[in-house]
Amino acid sequence: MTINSTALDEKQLLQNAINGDQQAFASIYDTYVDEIYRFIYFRVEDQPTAEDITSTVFLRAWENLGGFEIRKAPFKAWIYHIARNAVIDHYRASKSNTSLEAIHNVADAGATSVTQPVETLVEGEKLAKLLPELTEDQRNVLVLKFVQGYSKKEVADALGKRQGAIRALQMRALQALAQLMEMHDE
Amino acid sequence: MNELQKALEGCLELITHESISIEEALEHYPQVVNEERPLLIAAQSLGTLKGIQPSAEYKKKARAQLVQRMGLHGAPARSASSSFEAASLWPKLRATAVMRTATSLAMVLLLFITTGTAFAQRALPGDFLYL
Repeated sequence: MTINSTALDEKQLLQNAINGDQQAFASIYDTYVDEIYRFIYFRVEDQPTAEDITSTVFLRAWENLGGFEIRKAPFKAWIYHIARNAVIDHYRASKSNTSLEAIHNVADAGATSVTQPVETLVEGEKLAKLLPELTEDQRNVLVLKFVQGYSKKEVADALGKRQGAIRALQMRALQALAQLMEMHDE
Repeated sequence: MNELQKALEGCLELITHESISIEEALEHYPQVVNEERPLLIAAQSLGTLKGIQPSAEYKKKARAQLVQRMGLHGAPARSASSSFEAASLWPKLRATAVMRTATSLAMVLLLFITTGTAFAQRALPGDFLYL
């Protein structure tokens, strides 16, 4: 299946979902659930919270789908916007400031669900502990670009920034992460 | 875009699309090897986080709950955004037109005062602008 036909399929699915087809929306859920969960996972305190927020995101998306206009914005950007707001709402509701220690605990708790070989898992676990030390923007860019595999344009759309800004942010984020990796290796 | 940024973009392109190693990519940018290597290693390491995903059990359960809630909620409500946008467009246009008129009038007034002052400065007793 080519990228274009996949995009067309998604447009068709979205159109059907907008018209009230629940199965079409369930298919969209299947496509996006992993990446939305990952995106949220790096921002919240634990795995169950990430799961709760992920569920909330898709329900909100369904409830607001009538207001989504296919021609105006990519669905990806739209659902990431909902995900970002859902995380903000979570922190507002819990009024908790995510301490570094709490985030480190998240990485430890989440590691059990990682379906990776042991060596990679350890490396991933270490890295997951470093990500919260970056700024929100830096972390978003790195996760979307190098974990989710988004193009620069898709990252820009999802974060509501210009591609030039994403390039600069990506550079600073990688420099910061490389520095952290070096410090933790010593 | 500075040299480091260009090299980073170039290396990432090569690694992603040509499927070459970090060292092979760096051969294209010998002047910034030491600065770029740690960045590319960091970028590549992030790929290990792709394995973080929700459990199959959660996905299945959450999907079923979503379908159930969609059933309760019914079809997504059609947004009145287009009619709302059309309705809210007129006040915006009107505000823009008022602003433009006000700006034009202010410019004319400023021009009048400036030229008037210039002429008044050259005026001699008995002239119209002599005060």
